[in-house]
Amino acid sequence: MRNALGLDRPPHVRYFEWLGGVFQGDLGRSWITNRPVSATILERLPRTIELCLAGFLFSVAIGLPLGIVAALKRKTKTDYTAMGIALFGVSIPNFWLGIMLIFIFGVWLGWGPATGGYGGPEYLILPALVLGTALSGTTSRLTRSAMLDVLSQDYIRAARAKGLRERTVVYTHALKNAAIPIATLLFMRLPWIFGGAIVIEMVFDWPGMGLAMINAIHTSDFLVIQGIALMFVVLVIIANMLADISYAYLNPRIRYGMRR
Amino acid sequence: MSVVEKGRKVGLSISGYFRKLARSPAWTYLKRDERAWIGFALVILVVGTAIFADFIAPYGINDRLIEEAPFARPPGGAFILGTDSQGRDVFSRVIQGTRIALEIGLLLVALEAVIGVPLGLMAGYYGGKVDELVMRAVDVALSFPGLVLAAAFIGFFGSGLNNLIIALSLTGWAAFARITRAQALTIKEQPYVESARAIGEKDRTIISKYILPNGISPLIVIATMTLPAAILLASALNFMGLGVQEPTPAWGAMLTGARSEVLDGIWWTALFPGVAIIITVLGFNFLGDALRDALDPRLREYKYV
Amino acid sequence: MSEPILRIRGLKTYFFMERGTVKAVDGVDLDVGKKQILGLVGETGCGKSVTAHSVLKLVPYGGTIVAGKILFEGRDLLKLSNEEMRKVRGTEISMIFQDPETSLDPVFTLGYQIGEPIELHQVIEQHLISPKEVPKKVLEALQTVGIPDPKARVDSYPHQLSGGMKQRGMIAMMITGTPKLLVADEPTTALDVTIQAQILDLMRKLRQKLGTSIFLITHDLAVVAEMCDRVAVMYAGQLIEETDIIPLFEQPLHPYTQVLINAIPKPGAKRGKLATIPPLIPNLMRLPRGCRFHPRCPKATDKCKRVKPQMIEAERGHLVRCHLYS
Repeated sequence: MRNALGLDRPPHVRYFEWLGGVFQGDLGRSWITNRPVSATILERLPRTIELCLAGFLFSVAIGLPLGIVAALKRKTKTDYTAMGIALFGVSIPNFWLGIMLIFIFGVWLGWGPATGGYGGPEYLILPALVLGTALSGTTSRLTRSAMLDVLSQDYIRAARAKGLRERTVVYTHALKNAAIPIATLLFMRLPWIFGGAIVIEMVFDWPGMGLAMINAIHTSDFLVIQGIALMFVVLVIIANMLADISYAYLNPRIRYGMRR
Repeated sequence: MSVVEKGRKVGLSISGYFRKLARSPAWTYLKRDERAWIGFALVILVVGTAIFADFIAPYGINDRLIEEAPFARPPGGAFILGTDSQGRDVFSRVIQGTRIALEIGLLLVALEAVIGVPLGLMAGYYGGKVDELVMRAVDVALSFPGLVLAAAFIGFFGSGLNNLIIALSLTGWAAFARITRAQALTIKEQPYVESARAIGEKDRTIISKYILPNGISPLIVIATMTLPAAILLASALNFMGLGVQEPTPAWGAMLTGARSEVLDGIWWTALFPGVAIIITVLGFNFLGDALRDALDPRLREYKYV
Repeated sequence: MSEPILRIRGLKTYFFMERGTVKAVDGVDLDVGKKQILGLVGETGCGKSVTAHSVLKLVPYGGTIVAGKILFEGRDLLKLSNEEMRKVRGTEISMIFQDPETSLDPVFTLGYQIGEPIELHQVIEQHLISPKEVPKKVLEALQTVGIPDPKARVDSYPHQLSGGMKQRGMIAMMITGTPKLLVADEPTTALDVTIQAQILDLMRKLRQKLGTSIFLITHDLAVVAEMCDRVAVMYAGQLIEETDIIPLFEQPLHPYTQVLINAIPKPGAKRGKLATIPPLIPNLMRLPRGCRFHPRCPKATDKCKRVKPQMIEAERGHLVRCHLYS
């Protein structure tokens, strides 16, 4: 048994063997189920991505309008209320919010699957909402500061001096400029959603990579932990690339270069 | 000689910093900020609870107070927040959990500062290769989700309080390093630092006597804003069973079992530890936000969460 | 002179800050005649720029117009609703700004930004032209301001243009509605000297071609000398002297104006120290009693410290706010 698992060789030798396998798409096998780690990941990665994307959309759907309104009504009751909500959003532990929502909707009102799990949209909506809430606080804060930054620019004043309608000034000129930092920062924060997803998958029994990782940690299934951690590193790199791409795409200075 | 004296005047002690702060406009601004008052009140409440936990909690944290099933009784009577599935008093456990939460949070922030501040000082003060190396590490640490790395670390090295704190500090130090570096960069160009250098003070003296004390405002802000984030992250790891274990009444760990208990309609074991987390985190977040706006409006982009 | 196109009466624009009220514009009366170029000069922070923005009711955040009248062709702009005022901007009154680098939106092409007001005002609101004519109008505007190779510039983003081209582009964007009044806030300050001359030249041509009156805000007396018909001098939120261009330079009355004029280096003059005034920029939150200029005034008397001087007509068409002439 020890021989088959390779436990008789020193750890660093095993690590480099594993690393060599990684480049050939071989992440090793779980010593509990004997299933290839790559198979587990391939099965679970799409579910985690599905959850993260839905959560990301929720965070933008909640956070973006909140931040815009706060910026437009700067230093008024509306602004303070919106930012209070945002601060509340970042202060709630999302796993607790998940449990409470399970109780309210699943148990008390009996509207959805209380035990969680994986399936149709009724399984996705609560975990995605919870995942999105935490990030929406951050989203609305950075939207607000990006909008405030842009709204004080000279070209906004110039747009008003042209006699443009206020909604054109805000939603065409200000928002399109603010979109550059907002999109970049949002994509840079995307990895935080992956972190949140681990916890949320556990709360809602969502069979993604996070749940697999927690189970692996509890059973000391090291190759599974290693493989999933590696997968998260890849996701982080992709998120950073998305941030760079969105920056270049939204900013004409990069898109068209300097012609002078 | 006069230049030197001027330089000495600006190099100040930590206590001198607070004396200076009390007379500054930032203080006036802070006093007028409602968030500061709300945050301050909540923080006092939480810290007070932690200090006097033994007096407030009516029962021991592991006393089994219910003799027969059902052990989990709803709030009311002798148990104002009810009892959990093992017949223990939820109120006492939540109260005692305050101490654990603050302990974890403070230790973690302290460790992050101990790692991050010297690295930031070195990067900012010396620049060049050191700076490049430190900042590269900062970028990696900041872009990586702390929870994933911490979970993986614990997966390999085991759970428990110490590993929990070490695991979370792996990414958390970066915020301190970045802020300190930015401060060191501006302060080292100040005339009083140049005059200190001109009279032949050692680098170490310059850093500890001039740069650190004069750049401390943002550090206080970052520490205040990092603390609630640290408490949240730690509670998530505790919830996943990767940190402090049962029967220690850590709020996150208390929620682990609550997840399945709500399915049986037992909501009070889930509700109250969460409320305790929210009160604590909200208090420090309010205070941190108010401090940030009062001390240094430029810090806004460095929001940690 | 015929009825002025713009009459400002008793304008007060205040900024309410946490630490107190800044009276940036504190009772200004001004007339801009038809096809006239009126200069408003003063040092940084005297309120001249806020005066300019008040005319378009585009006071920066924190500021409010608290009193006064701004009569444009007899209509009080301060009584217009936001929507009515919006329709005045870009059509009847337009503004050009100091910094061409920041006054064009970096994420839209020049053509788009010039086309925007044309599309809105001339197509949607006034039904003067069909949507298909917009590109032609954009080209015309670019030709009017003399941008070389206008066809190629339509699709350029601001960062692809030189500073001078940006300033011309911004002017093009602002004159599409053939405005009757152009408010120019330091239009040449951020530009190189050679381009400065070109832009000033362009503004003079616009007045000829479009019949536009220009309200020119500047701190540069050389620009004033070259451009203006009439000049008002502003100090600490108030006008202190107003006169035609020749008397201003030949016979300035207010001690402040005299110092300003004397500070211009003159060719052929004896080498020596330039004239200066004590560097005491007035704090608009805590203004001195009496005459606002008296702490810096070389000719101040006891009366100046106690009594506020009024604007009086010392000579025909030459107004001054100083006790020396009462």
